[in-house]
Amino acid sequence: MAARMTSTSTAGIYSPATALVLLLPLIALFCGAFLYPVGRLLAMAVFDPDFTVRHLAKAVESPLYVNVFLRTARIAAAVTLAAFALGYPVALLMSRLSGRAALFVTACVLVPLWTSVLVRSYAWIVLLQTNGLVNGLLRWLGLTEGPLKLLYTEATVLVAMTHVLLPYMILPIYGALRAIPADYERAARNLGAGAVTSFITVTLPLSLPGIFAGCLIVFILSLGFYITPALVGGPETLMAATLISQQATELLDWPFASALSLLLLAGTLVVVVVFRRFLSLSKGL
Amino acid sequence: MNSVSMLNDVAGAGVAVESIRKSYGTVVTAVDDVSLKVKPGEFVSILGPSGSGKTTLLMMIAGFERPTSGRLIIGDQDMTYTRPEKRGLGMVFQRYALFPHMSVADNIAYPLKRRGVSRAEIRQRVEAALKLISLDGLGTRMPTALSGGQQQRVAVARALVSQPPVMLMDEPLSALDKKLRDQMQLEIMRLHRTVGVTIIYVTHDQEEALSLSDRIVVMNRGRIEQVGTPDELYDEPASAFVADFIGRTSFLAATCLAVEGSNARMRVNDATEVIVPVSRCRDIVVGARVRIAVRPEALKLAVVGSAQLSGTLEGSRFVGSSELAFVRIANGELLQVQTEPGVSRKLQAGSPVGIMFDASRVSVFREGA
Ligand SMILES: Nc1ncnc2c1ncn2[C@@H]1O[C@H](COP(=O)(O)OP(=O)(O)OP(=O)(O)O)[C@@H](O)[C@H]1O
Ligand SMILES: [Mg+2]
Repeated sequence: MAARMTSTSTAGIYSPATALVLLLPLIALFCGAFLYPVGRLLAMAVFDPDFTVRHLAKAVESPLYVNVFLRTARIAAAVTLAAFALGYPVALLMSRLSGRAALFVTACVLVPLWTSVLVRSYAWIVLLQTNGLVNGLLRWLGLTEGPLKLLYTEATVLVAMTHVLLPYMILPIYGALRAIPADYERAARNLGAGAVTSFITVTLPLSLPGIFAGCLIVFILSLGFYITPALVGGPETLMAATLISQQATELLDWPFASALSLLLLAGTLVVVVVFRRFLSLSKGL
Repeated sequence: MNSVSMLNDVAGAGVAVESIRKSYGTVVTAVDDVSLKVKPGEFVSILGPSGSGKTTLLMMIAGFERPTSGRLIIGDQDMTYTRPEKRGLGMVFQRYALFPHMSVADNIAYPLKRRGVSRAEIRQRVEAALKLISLDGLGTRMPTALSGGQQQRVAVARALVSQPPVMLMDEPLSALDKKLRDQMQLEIMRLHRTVGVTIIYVTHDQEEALSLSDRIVVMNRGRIEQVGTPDELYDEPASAFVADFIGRTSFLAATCLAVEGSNARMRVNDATEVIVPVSRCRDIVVGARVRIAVRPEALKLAVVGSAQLSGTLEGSRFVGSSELAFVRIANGELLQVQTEPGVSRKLQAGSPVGIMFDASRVSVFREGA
């Protein structure tokens, strides 16, 4: 009886067979267009044509490639931190506003998200290039003699990536903050906590799930980020995704590109697992 | 230090609300020129229908809303614009607002930590508070692992542990089922007696207000309709609204024919004339259309012909120790009449019945007032 009830409540109005038929196109697309090619690509890393760890060994033994991975992790961590530091106050503001002001701030967060990453990255080039707006302004103000090298530095990659990924940090935190009933903070204030104390002891801990979700999304997206670092970064700021694309499209070394992909994927999965542990811990709080 | 002595040296403080008004924008006036004096240690309920401004008034006392105008005095201090954390009031929220990420003990300890009480004393007072609400041993539980009634008691303990002079409660029992609600009402009354704290209690449940309070404030559309003891509100409602809102009340449309000495002659139901003491009438003039409010216990079933009013029985309902008969009279009004158990249910629905009424227990209001 209980089993029947749960099965009807989860299966809803469709029988399992109908549900399968309805899902078939999606499953086919997923297998044909995602699992199969990704599987083929990853297999290439270890079968050439027989099983080998040659390509993997090349990736982890050469300091050149290890450095790229370390840099990728470092930039991803820095972007996550920066996005959190900039995003949390915005999310907090969004959750407190109402009416027209809330609409305006939400639009400021969402409109960039709907704009192509390519456009946003080119915007940074327009701003930062040798004869760009920033250099022009600096010279006009007399602050610098010649143009500064602003593009193709790690700092620029960091700033541009933070900008591009910021909405992915703001939205989950905003969601978590909105889900906290106003009565919790009122109760804290009523019980003698000032605005700051009540934020630290009540609002912040209750928004942890949103913080973890936002950090996870931004960190993982940064690990595999391609367009922005490729456009505003240079050879000294080479990141994993750009390296993989170089190996595949310029050097045509597909087995090595797939070995690098495998390592990136493995690293990402480890991060996901670790974050999920944090997430479940924070839920149990 | 036992659990009662921990709390009962608190002296309740008086609360004075002076012409307080709260407007949202230019259209909504949630609380409109409300004045109220609550005596130290008194239990005052704020009663009113949904949207009458009860929560808004309480939020202004707690400091979460700024009055548009008016003054608020707690104890002997003007606290109109004091920040909520500086008011030192206890508050119990409708959905308890226990911090979900802290254990029961940490929840109760929260206000003590904010006041810099020493660790040893915090442990002692939390334990005493848990004992007071009969939840000793459950301090390490998370609030979500408690039943609704237990959460409610933790919320009360958390509000009282710092010994506030005034406690505010916003429909604290509305999330509980009937039986638990009755039990919690008794506990709140016991706490009020032992602790001596002043309680301002918001509810839209008239029975709750009648059974708990020293005095009741009836609100309607942001204004106070009447302030009085439960007896006063029940026996001498100041307006048709209060008469209707408190108790089961039937209304009879009537016209005032004449005032003769201390009695007023009214024509009810287009035909019958009744005499009502002037003392039961509010601003009545001869010729005015009035509404007569009657309680079921002021009405009696009688033999048709000898009775003042006649109508048809529509049905009856058993309400425990007595019965309510529903009688439709000629002009279409439905009256609720109290009878002995078994009397009205013996009668067939549709049978003609007479009604006598006790004119000394009715209240008469001007139509539209
Ligand atoms: N922030 C606000 N902005 C605009 N109007 C408000 C706001 N808060 C309350 N109101 C309005 O003020 C009036 C009184 O609201 P309030 O919450 O005080 O009623 P209440 O008596 O507590 O009702 P209930 O029994 O439903 O809790 C309502 O008409 C409500 O719509
Ligand atoms: Mg309310």
